[in-house]
Amino acid sequence: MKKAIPPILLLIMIIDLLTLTGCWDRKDIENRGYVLGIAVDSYSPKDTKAKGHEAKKEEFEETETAIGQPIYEMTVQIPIIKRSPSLAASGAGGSSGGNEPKTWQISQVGNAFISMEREMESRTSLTLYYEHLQVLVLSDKVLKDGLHNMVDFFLRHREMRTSVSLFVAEGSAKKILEVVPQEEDHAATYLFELPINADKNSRIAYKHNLGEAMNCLRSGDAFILPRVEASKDEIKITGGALIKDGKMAGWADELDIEVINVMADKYQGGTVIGRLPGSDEGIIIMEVTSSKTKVTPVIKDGELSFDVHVKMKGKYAEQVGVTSGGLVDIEYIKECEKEFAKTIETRCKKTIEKMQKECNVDVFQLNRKVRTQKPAYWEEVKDEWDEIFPNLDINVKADVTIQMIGVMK
Amino acid sequence: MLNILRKWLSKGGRGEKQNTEGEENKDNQQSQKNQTQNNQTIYGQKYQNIKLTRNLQDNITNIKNAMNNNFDIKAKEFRLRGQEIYAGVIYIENIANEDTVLQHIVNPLMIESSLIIDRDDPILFKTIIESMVTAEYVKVVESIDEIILALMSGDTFLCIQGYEKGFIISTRKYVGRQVGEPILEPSVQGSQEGFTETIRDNVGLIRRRLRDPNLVFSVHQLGRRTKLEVVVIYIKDIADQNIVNDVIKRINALDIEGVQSAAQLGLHITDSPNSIFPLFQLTERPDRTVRGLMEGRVAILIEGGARALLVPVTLPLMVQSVDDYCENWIIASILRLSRYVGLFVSAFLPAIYIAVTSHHPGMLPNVLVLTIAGSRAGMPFPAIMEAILMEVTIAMLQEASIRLPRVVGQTVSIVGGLVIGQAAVQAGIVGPIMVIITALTAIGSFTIPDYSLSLATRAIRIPFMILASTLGIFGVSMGMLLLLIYIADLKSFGVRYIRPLSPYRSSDLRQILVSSKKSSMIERPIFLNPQDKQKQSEAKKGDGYGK
Repeated sequence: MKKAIPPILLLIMIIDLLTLTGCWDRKDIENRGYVLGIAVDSYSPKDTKAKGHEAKKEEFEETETAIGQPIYEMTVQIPIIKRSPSLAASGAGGSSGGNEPKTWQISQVGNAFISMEREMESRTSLTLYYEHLQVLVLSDKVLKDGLHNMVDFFLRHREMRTSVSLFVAEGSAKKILEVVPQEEDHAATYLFELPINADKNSRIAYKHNLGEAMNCLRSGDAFILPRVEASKDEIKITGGALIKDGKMAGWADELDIEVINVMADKYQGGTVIGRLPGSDEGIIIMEVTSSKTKVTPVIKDGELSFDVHVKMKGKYAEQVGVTSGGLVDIEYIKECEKEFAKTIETRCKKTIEKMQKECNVDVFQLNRKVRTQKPAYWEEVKDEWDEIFPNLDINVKADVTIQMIGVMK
Repeated sequence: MLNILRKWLSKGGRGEKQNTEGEENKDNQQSQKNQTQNNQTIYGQKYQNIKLTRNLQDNITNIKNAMNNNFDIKAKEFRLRGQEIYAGVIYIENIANEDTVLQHIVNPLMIESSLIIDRDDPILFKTIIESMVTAEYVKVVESIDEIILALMSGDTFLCIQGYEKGFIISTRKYVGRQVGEPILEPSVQGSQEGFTETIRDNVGLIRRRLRDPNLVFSVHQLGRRTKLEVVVIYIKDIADQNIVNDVIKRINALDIEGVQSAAQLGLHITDSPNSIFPLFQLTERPDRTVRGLMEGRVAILIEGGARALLVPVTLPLMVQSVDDYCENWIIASILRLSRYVGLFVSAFLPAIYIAVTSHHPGMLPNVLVLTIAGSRAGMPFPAIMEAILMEVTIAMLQEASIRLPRVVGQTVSIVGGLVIGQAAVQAGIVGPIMVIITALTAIGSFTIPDYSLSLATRAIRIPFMILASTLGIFGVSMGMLLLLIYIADLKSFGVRYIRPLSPYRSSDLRQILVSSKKSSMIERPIFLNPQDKQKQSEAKKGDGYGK
């Protein structure tokens, strides 16, 4: 029979195991730098006034730069964690000024993100930690070089999640992170929370995170990334960037976004304006409570066309320029519903035409509909989709139901 | 690895038990032999040479000498009325009721005997017992051993001139506390009576709540020197006879000097003395004891111990409280679940906190991680040191507040509260979140109804913290796995300690985890192997007379 190991030896073995193998990723919570947002800019020595560390790094990095590859400037935002003011006040009696910066943006230049990241580690006493990364802001120049080029690092990194929200900035992406917001402590958190109001304002592009963007990139579908603009203490979501084949193919304005949301059945809520029935000047406004869109590919005589059926329900929210009465009856409501439907249809047609003719970006992802619903046809046309899409016949039909007319006092 | 572990874990109790099981027959014979020997010579060979003689004087002197002529041994000689026969009584004045001795033994023999028997009739040994002594219990004895034990217990020995035997007459006096409130196990709705140190009162408290002729009290003497009564109580037609036999066997097999409390006795007869989890349940509540008996468990009372020992016990039974049965089953289930949460929090919360903050901050939501990091910024110690520091402080505080007399006790809580709660945080030694965690842990441990079980959670807390700080959540989960193996390996009088959590039996589980109405009213928990499985008929479901 095998001799049993005496318990004391076993105990020593266990303690050894713990102390020798353990702890490799132990780091107390306050010793990590929580990267909340990353901004990626395209770097050109001419228009960026680099100074200090960045400049020195620049020389160094150039030797490592792969020839012909775009050079990026990566900026990470980490919160500056100080002892919370109440404790500091009671403990040391120190005063904490309100104007101290709450975040620290570290920038680094290079064309491989991992080497930029490691360079940053040499500049901070905290270990950069990416599990709380919320937003990734890309400059439009980066997008013009192509997403494929840069996104690899963000997908492979052990600590990064696919739920990171993507945003596009015109010009400098770094500026977005440098905003000192009024309501949140950190620009990244502020930016992350912005699309939350998409159920109030339909002109906010629905969230696109890294995972969804990756799906579209891999399947070759076009998609839209929300575009952000920054002032000193404010960030606004305005329109979006159209991405086709991993590259930016143009801008969509806010009205386009609204239609894109409708077409993608991601419309969460907003307002629709219509003309006041029987009047030339007045307008009526509906607050949309629910919207359902059905996009059906139809093949007739070998020709592909799309039927888009939009069903909206809403409240009669406001009327402007009404001279008499103001009371509504069922007939009037029916009239209004027709007016709203008309607006929706025209608006949709306008944007669809813009996407088809001007941009030639299938941002509505109609190709997916064909691929899934008419696979045989898709096999025939998949190589020439770019030629087919601009000439597609897309019929939009809207149905509007007004459920409530508001509280009349 | 597992084998080694098992072996290591079982080194204390289980191994021994396997041995005893293996040589059960031999063991049984031995213990029986021991018992018969015990019956013959209670105090061993000590009084073998002393024999009762026909001479009264000699007997009294011998007995007194055997007990070292102590001052409190009273002997009184007297003449039976009207006859030239002398008799003597010996008793110990503090534990015997002198009134009884005089009123019911001496008085009838000296004075009143003439009313019953004629002056001329000879007084026979038999007549004394049958018609003269009016005390409650009389027994004829011949061996000095028995006499001494009786005297030590407070009985009186009556010796008649000319006989080589005498009478033991019960005159015990019970001095002790009145029946008071249960201090350690207070209850909101339950009865407010607790056991006392007097076994007679305790038996009475149980008897009064359970008028079942099948209630069995089996009395044993325990301890080489203390010779205390130990009463094993069970309900004959419910309790599993194997468990009862096991308990009695273990008590009789004990050869110890003596125990003073039920807890000590429990440690002597437990399955695994090395187990940190209590394998027997101590209670000072008669109503809980009665409930245990009706579940088919065995209660053990010991003279001088104000607790009853309930065996077998399993982990989920420990988490039950008397109030569970006084409330509506929904309320009771919520209360019980909150106690399970308390148990979990008390054992694992600091470990989980350490693991998450120092290994996996990604598990925390964004804002929370920044808050915690903010509160810990500039702290001199890592989380594990902080936790151990606080743990030690809390342990000392608890210990101090138990040891200190009640008058000064409040000082401890004030000083402790201030030191831990505020000063440590303000001085920047301990983070405020850690204070919250420690406080939650302490509160969690207070929700556990069984004191020994809450001590067990305290014992595993620090090892788990070390695991958490070295291996993170992985370490904690490995530790939990090992703990589960350990608990599953424990047995309390042949019943697995995690029953009825495993093996799965839905009715038992319902009854234990949530006190489901139907099952707790009608069926007895099966895992204790009761003989009578039904508590009441299906027809009376206990939902009153309505409907």
